[in-house]
Amino acid sequence: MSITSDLIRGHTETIILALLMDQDSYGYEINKSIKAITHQQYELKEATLYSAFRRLEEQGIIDSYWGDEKSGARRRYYRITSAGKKQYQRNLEDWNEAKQMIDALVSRRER
Amino acid sequence: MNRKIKAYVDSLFSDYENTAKNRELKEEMTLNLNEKYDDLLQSGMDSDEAFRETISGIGNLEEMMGETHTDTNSVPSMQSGQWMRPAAIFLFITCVVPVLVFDQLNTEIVGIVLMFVMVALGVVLLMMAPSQKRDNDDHGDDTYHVHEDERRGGKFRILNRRESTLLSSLTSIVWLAAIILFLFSPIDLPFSRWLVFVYAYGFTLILGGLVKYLVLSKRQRQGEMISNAVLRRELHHMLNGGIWFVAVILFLSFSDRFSYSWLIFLVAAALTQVTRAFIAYRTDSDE
Repeated sequence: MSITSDLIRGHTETIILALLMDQDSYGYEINKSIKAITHQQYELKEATLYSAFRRLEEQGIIDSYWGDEKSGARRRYYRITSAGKKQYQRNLEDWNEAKQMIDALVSRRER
Repeated sequence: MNRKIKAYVDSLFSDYENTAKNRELKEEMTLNLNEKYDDLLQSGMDSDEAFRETISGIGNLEEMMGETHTDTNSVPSMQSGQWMRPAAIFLFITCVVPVLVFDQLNTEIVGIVLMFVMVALGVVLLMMAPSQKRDNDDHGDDTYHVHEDERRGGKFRILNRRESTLLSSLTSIVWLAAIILFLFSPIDLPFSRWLVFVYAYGFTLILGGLVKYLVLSKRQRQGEMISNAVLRRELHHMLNGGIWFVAVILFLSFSDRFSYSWLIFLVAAALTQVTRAFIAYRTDSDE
């Protein structure tokens, strides 16, 4: 399972973008979605998540804003930018291409 | 708001500067952690278990903080404590001066005391000197370098700042003890007194290796992966240090009996090249 984690972690940014394409979200909610989608199998470390947020924000791929909570502390929300949407499409294409190639390379063929 | 969580996050961030960015990060993180904690409580865990589970999901802040320091505003050379390191080195180099001066005045003890005071001051200054946070990663093209960034950025430094300060202090203590032993030991043989420093070096090697091993196994138990390259680099370091250490000991032990004992250093140099080639070979065969 550790190799799988590594592989998934390598796509952290695309994963975050995919989730933000649907709706704006915040740190813990994103992690919750990841857990739900992978049926509790996978979860990102906070440090990984926040590093990715910072990187994406620095590149202008996502934006952040403070939410207006009715009570208590304010939450930091993230939304994808238009540049981000294009980046996401590119990443998705790259991944599909890689996926096909790797599948072809590691599967055995009938001779 | 769970006070324990806030306290924990505060302690995690205590190693870092209190910038606005970091404060916001702390706020975001604390809130998210609290929400996770509440969810875990709702799912039936007791408070201790939920707390542990929440904390264990944080991961290594080092990689996150190292990357948020790509601020072009934080130029290391403009920090206020930069004079400390050079001052410490100055103290170390000139610490023998009192000994020489007071020896002339026949009050050697004053000179020795002053020397120790200067050495101690130097050590304190070194411990207090701010460490430069150098960014190892170039963030030019990030989307598919994410994987490498996390491995390299996080694992490049084995010890975080607190841990390496601890190791430096321990090493300084070892060296101070060596100086004291050297000056006040009853042994009269010429080479044995200098040997104290060689043994001190060997001891610091072992100490460093031990501390790093303990830190690494603690991190692995927390679920982090340590890259092989870093492990190999540390091993290489220790092996080299060990080879030279043994070489000096052997040389000093045999020099009075054997006039070619300097050959041992050629052997040591050859051995270091062998280990380097071996390590490089293992690295290649792994990739």
